[in-house]
Amino acid sequence: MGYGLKVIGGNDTFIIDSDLTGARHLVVVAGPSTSTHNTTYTGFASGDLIFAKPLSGSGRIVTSWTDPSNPKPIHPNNSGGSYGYDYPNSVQQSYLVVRPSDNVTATDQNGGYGLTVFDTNGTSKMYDSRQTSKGLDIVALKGQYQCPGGMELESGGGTTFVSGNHIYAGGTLTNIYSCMNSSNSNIYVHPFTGYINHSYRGYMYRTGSTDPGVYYFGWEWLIIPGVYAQFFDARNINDLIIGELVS
Amino acid sequence: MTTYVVNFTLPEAETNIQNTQYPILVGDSTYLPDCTIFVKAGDTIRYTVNQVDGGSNTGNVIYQDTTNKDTDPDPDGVTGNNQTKTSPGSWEYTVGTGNEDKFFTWFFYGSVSATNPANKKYSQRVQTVRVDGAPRINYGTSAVNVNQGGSLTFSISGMGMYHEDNGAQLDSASNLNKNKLYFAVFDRPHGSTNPNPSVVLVQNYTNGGWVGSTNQLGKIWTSSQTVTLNIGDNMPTGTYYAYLTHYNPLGTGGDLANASSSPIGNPFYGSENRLGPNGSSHGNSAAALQFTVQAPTGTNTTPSLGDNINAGTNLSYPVDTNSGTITCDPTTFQPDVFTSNTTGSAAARFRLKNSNGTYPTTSYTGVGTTLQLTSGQSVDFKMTGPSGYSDTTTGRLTIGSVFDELSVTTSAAADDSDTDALVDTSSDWGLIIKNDAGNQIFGTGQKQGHVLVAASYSGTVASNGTSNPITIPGIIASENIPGRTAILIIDKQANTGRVNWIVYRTSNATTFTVYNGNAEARTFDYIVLRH
Repeated sequence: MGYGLKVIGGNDTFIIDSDLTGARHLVVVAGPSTSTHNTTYTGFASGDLIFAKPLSGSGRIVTSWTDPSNPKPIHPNNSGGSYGYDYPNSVQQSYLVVRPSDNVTATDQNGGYGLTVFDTNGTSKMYDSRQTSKGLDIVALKGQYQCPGGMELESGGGTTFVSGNHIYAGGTLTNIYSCMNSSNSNIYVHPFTGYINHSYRGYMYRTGSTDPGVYYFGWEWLIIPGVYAQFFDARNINDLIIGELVS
Repeated sequence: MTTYVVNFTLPEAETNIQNTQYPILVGDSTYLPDCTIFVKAGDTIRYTVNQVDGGSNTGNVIYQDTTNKDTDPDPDGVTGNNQTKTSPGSWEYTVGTGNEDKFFTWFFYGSVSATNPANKKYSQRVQTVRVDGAPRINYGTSAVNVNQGGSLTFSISGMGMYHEDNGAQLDSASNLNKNKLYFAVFDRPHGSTNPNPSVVLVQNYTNGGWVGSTNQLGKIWTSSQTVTLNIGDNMPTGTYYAYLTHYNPLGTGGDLANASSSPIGNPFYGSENRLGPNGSSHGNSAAALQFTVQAPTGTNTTPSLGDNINAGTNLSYPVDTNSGTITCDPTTFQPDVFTSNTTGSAAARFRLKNSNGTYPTTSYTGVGTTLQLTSGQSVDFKMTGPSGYSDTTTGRLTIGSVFDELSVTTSAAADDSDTDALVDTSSDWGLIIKNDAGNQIFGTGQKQGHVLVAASYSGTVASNGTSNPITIPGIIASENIPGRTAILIIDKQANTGRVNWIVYRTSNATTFTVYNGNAEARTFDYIVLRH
């Protein structure tokens, strides 16, 4: 390392490394904000990440990325939908917009002093402490395909949580946000056959005394209305990231 | 033995008019144009004669013996020169084996007078030809075995189809349809029920069928008394039953088919028209010529699935390989092909691949199903690596009596794939950034995230295909693990209810590929974080 800043904490905890040319710190630029069903996250710009949690503190959250430039939280005021399982009974979100540091225009959010780390070009910022007064501490991760997915049909009654889907353990989830770029919410009705496909991947926040924390859930439905409905477990196709908002 | 009933109406043909009186009742203008009907020794032939005048059956009909033609044998009960019966009247005779019974012509006329009262208005003659002969398979009558891809010779012994007017045997030619006898293959012997015997479409099997025929019938005639049946490469093994039949103009679709004629079975291969191999038991009593189709025995080359795979920390690693061309000795040998899961849930599956790169069936066949390979084909083989760490799955591809196996092994999970236990929250050294409120927002004790790349994949990835390698900038190979970098794939497909991508990190490198498990070609955005 010829110049710059490299900070590695205990257990090789990554903090910053100027050797990573092009690396951009994740800056919390907006939020917490409250989501509106099927409406683009306020303040979102292409290349941003969305971290979210249930506004009420518990329940499932999902995001549709069918248009990556307009991700939308999906939480209709509908526990089942037309077929009883159109939606995963997802809930309203509290969300953060997180942006790579060189795309952040705000300054002096934390006073006019602090630390700025530039990339090798001398202009792009790898980190600037003046860009935000908030931080996002990554507290849990799951690698791709590590969670088996599934989970019971919500309208079916009892709730069985799969331990392999447990990403973050903890009873206090007030500031725990999950990266929604790993989520998907898709519904497709074939225009000719009427067949219906659903695909959901997201997070379940569970509070209370029994195994509280953040869980992954994922499933797909293939439905031939009136004839056939098949439920499939769906593993996490993306790495899952859980962060704690610090402010 | 069969009773044939030919019910016909006398045509307007004035007697005593040379060249037009007593026209021949032709059995079928295409298939039986030289006589009225074929019969076999032991069959009974009955002609029911109608005189229709003024729209109604009327008067008498008369059988006329004559010295101008050889009518013998006469119908049963005829002792004089003629016999009169009220219309409709029937005359019959049971055909014997004697030389006299090979052919006979009978003359009939009606009682209605022509304009010239000395003549009669209606007349007709019928001609019966006895077909002789005994079918043979490979020139015998014993049951024979034949390999798929082999052939059999069918023939007839003692064939006769004599026509006295011609003073010769009725004959045909390869490009004509008349005066033929037909071999047909059935899947069950005569008399089987539930299910009934069905004609085997031998021509539908690969390289199968009767020589000189495009349908299910092998044809012989007086001057061509043998025919070859090629057994298709994929004709199911088992025993089959072949019969030889003559044409029946009374059968469905025949020219003489009407409500009062019989039998009405298939005119080409109806069981009533069969000739027995013993030369005497015909029709429904005829025995079958049996043959059994067997899978040819032989050997084939051994498939090669390549080296075993170390998938590192890639779970459910997809394997897609090919066996290499398999050759068989003899080339007609078609070995069984199937897969099995030797270790773990390998999900071994396969499909056959033709030498020209096409596929008999594009979909893959899983464990429990067997297909037959043709020499020169290869086998596409797929399996899936373990879904967990430090595990192995092994799939096997068996072709004939040889096989190859392929194992996929995963290594132990990266120790820091779960980071909640790894974050150092106790150190009091290093760098700490606090906000105005005095709370730490960055630095020691917190794990930070940095975006390394956020981009759109260039192009699309085919269904069940894999993207080109994507390079993660900045990192070293050891950081290409879930505990150090996070890879996010964002599906961009509109109008879909399914999303299925799998990221494969390249071992000991800073790249990854993305497998498209969706049903159509798609593209995606991706974000890689260092954390």
